[in-house]
Amino acid sequence: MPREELLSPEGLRLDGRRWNNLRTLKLSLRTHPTSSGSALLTSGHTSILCLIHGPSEPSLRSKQQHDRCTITVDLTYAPFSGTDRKRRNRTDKRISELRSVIQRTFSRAVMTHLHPRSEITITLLVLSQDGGVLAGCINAATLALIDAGVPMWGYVAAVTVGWVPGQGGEGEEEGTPVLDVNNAEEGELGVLTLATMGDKGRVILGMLESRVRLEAVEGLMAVAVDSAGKVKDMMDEEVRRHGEAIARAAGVGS
Amino acid sequence: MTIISATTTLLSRADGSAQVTSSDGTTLIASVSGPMEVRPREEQPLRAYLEVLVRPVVGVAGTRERLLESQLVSCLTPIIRLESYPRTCIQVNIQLLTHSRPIKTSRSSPPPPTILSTALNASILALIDASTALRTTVAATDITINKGRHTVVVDVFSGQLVFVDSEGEFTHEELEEALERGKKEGMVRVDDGGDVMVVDEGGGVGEEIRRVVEEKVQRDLRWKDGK
Amino acid sequence: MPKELDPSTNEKNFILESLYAGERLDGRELDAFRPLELEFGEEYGLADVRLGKTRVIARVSAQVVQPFSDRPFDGIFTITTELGPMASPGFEVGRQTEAEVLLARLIEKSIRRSTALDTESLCIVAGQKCWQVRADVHFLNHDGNMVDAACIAVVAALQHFRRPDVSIEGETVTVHSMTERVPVPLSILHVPICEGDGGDEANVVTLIDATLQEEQLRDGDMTVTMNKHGEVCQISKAGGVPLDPIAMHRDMNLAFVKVKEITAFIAKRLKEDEEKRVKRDNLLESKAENER
Repeated sequence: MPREELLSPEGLRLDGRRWNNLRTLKLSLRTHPTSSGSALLTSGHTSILCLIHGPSEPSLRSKQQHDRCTITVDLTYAPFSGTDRKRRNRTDKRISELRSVIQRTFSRAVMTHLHPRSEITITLLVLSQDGGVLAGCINAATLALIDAGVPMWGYVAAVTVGWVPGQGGEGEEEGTPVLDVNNAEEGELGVLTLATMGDKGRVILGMLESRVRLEAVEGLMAVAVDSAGKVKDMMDEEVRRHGEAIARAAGVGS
Repeated sequence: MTIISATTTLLSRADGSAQVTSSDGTTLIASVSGPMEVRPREEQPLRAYLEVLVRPVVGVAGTRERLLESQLVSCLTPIIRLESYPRTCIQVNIQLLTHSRPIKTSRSSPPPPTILSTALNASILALIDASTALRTTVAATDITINKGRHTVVVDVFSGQLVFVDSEGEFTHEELEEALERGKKEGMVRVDDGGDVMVVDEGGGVGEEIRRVVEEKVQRDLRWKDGK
Repeated sequence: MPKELDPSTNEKNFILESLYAGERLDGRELDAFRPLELEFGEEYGLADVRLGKTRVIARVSAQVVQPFSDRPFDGIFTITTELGPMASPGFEVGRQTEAEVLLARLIEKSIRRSTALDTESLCIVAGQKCWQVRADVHFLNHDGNMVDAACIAVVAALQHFRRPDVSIEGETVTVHSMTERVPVPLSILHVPICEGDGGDEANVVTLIDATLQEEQLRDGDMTVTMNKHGEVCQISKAGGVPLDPIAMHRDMNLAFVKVKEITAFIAKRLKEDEEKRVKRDNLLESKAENER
């Protein structure tokens, strides 16, 4: 797809957003009260449900670690999540990579030493996919872990940024970053998924899969770290609102 | 068939290893790990479990490799003192690097050389490198007579036949001849007292294996010279 | 099979404290590679890479197959990686561990997804015949940084490989043998090289080309794949110690320097090998003439 279609001369994207617009991010906590913690995240047409079970006794003895808890991630794409109905194989290399990326991220973000010899299971279900699945999974898992009351070192907030290369014309900019890509953009552009942990904008996860110039990566990272901060604030707002609602229902607080 | 080059102790993570290039164009690496922990299913109370794994250079292991594995197991089982390492596993890994298989031009030409003899010679060197207890040393030779090809494995000291694998068309006399030639190729020269004679030049596969091991021992015992 | 042993507490403390003091066990600088060796086999497409004690062999081969029906103009390129017990007794046969999946994906993303090999040039007759190029990666000795060693091996083997020439007359395709016609090199669009970084504990120490022990003790890792034109093909930092974005960018710039060095090294070795081959062929020819 040529560049003009992804980004019009007026600077508008396929879905009418500007380069720095996030899609509408809807966050809700405790959607499924039977689990220890749950969250539903909707970002544009991407929709991901996350359920937390644990900390509990490990399902397998091999998962028991004497000094920390084990994080297990279970990631499933619903067969109806894409435009074509497709049942995905659980042994799909791409899915198992995503699973282990999420697992490694939260093994670091959760204070695992507080729950030795236990297991925390993060179950992720992708209900609908329209770009930014990994970022959505990370954000949903963070919220669900907070809902479950699992101690963490800080918020893990993820965003995707795509890079629309310039035409290489005289005096023209090298390219433009586009924030929070959708499916059409993800297929065409080099996309960086980046997650920060805590307030200082430190990067815990960074994944880039297509060719992008080194100079552009610097710009992409700057945009991503900045926007991840914004996503973190939105998540914090929702957590506080949810907390207050619970407190009100229990008859404590304001 | 002769060994063109052989090096030992080239992999740090294995207990013993050897890379061998034969004159038939086969290069391969053999590594030995063990005695080490064995999977409970394969544990044997009175002897070590011998596992041989062969990997081709292109693609994944198939029937050809499985056959080779079972041939190597039957060759090596009587050689290694498995009863010295009960409840353990000795693992021999063979990784093929190059294997030139000449195209069969006519029906009368002998079948292409197999990897078995090179793999066996490399395994023996790797086992010696890993200081695994062996009953004796063996040497394998490929011998082609007319339309038949024979892999003959003999004890380098006594010349006793350990294993033979033949392919193609051959008569009983030709097989006898192959065994005789294999014995000659595989044996090292011993003097009247039964000690191995040091011969610098010539000799068959057995002599070459002896030379490689001698070099290895000299290298390993360098520290004794105090230099 | 025996599990990979973790370093003992003493070893761990010793290595970490030396690292904080800016020293590595093998005396390298923090940003230095181990000695890299690259050798090619007799046949085309066999590369043997040694990075310190880590050793990886890549073998590239090609055969004519039918292209995928949804991509009639593209050839097929596959990379197979299998961690066998030869590399380390801890690797089991036949069962893919998570580490193995990640390693395979990383190599695949670095080389295949970044379209290093021009698959369109592998097409012979659209929709009917194309070349299938496969790279088999064999890990012989595991002493850390398998990704870099594997990437260098695959890239070098791809550049070294020559596929047989083909000629097309109407519907029939003739594959010429290597001696009949000069074999053709594959068209490589760019040369990606991986860079493994290991970060260590609280006040972050960044290392390049970690050994196995350093890998076992590290708190996080980042792999960047780049080509010599300054294009980033792949970044992978999954979890581990959170890094400052500025530090990350500094590491990428450092990686770029190393990538240029390694690319130049591969090119040098390829040229040497080529010269050796030419010399040998000339020698053979002159011998043949003398005999006549």
